Amino acid sequence: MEESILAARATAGDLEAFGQLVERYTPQARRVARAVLADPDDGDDAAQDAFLSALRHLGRYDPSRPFGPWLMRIVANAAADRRRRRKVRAADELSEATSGGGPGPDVETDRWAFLAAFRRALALLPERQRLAVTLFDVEGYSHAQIAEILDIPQGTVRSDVFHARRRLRTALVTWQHHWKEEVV
Amino acid sequence: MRSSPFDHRPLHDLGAALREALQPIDNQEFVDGVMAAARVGDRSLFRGDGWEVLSAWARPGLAAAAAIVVLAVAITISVGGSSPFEEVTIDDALQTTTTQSATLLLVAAPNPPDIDIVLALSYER
Repeated sequence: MEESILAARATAGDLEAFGQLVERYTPQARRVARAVLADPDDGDDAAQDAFLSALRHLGRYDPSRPFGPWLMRIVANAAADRRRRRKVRAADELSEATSGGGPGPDVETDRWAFLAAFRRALALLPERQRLAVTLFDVEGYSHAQIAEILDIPQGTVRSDVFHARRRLRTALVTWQHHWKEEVV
Repeated sequence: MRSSPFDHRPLHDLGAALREALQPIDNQEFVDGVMAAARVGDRSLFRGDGWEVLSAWARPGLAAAAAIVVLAVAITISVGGSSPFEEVTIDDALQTTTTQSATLLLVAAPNPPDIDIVLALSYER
């Protein structure tokens, strides 16, 4: 069923329709919230806050436009609010672990180690860059949609995606080279 | 083909790594939690809190108040227009045959007299 119809039914009080929207957008909302908040539990709390806030304000959703960007804006705001309330920067929580460069590919070679290193690289990015690159390269939103979600100019989105990619690619390429050497 | 940070399309390798790094587990448990919270606050969630109800009423309330003010002004103007002084001009006052009533009307009239009429009347008397 179309999202605009589901949203209209949910606005009228149909919780089942709202449930379908929640199921459809849960993975995306949780990923975006986690891109802001390093702690997964905090991310999930923010994503839940966002869904409930969306339910309260469904009347403000314009059904002629895609539902995803509207919801992601709420998710990004909910996550940023939660982070501000805690007054703890996600990168600060991880700065100690990364100060020594973290485990290199010659120390740990499994996938878990790579993901841990990649998460650290992600956490060290400014919040807006994390959101921009996640929304663009993971969730597939356009620069224009991300500009709307984050309420920033499109040029800033392009710049944020570029800088985030450059820093994340360093972590990614290091491990890709390592895996190639392992195979050879 | 190797991807570049300048690429305006999503980068699949980076996107896949990022997705895996952020990927949550057990989405169904999360959905159940959200729906349970939504059911608990069902009524308040759909109807909004007190401020939202007040703000929803604010716009029609202001519009009604403005309409009442406009109507009141219109009524005042139409009723006020029947004042006896506005129907009497200074020329009428000067052309009155009774000197006493002419003086009264002259004092009560809101506008100054036409000098030609004053001179003409003085000449006739």
